Amino acid sequence: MEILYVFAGIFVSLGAFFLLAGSIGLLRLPDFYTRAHAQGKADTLGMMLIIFGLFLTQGFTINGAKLLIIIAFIGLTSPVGTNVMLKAAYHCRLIPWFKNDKGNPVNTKQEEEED
Amino acid sequence: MKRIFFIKTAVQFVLLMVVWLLLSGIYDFTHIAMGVLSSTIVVLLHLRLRKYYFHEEEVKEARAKAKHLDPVQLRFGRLVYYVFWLMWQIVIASLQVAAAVLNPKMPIDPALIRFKTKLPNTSAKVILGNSITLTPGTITIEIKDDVFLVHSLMDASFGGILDGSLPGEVAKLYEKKPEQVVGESTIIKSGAEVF
Repeated sequence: MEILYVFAGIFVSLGAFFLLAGSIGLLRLPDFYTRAHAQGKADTLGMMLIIFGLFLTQGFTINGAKLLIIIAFIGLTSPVGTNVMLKAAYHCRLIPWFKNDKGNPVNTKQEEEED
Repeated sequence: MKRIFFIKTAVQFVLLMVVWLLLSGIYDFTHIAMGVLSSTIVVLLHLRLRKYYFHEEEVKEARAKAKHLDPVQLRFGRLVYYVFWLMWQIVIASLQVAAAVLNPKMPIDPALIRFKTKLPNTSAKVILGNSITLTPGTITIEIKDDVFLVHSLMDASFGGILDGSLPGEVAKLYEKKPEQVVGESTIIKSGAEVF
């Protein structure tokens, strides 16, 4: 029993690390599309790891089965939510940020201001 | 053809109801009535989606079965393998993206990738789209007929899509030996070429 709690702690800590990385990415990345990467992805794995850690403390009981179902649920719904947000942004003609991009009106405007 | 639609709707309702009963664990009138109500709402919300996106394929499948041809069917053994394979891919890609985000120089190089695929049906496209989004570093923006539009964070992220390994695994869920799945592809790296 004790050893299971140690493993659960490791999984929850790993999940917390990925959630932290996702949040830092959300603050640091340049535009909507790239921020969706940090928010929607690191979070998916982080949540899955945390819930799997909780599952280890429960074992194969009714509660444990419910936690496994939640993992499957997150795995199926999270990408759909991210996809819908990006599709909306794309249809509103939001131009993504690119590295070394001279043609992007957003980038050119910034360069003019810097001069 | 209406009969197939009706049967599939009934199957869907029964499955939802079974999940409800398993999860609730309380079998009195109020709780079961709430289960019936919510299952009905879900089926009604889903009805139009199935009518316009999946019904044609359901009909096609039933016709193939009637003629004793091999219908395109999901192979469940392969699905189990695929889920674990995908989880491993997610872990690798997550570490890549986390490293890039935490790196002070932030070596990201976003790109849009448009590529054509040869997949047997709508479900396969949904699975591929969701898998791409689930793998960190790549997000499906749009699926129009057979053409996927994907946003990727780094050059390392979209390698697995364009060399056909991820789409290939999805195709293998339905066919034993799929042909070349990924068709012509373009990589967009400037704002002027996006729309």
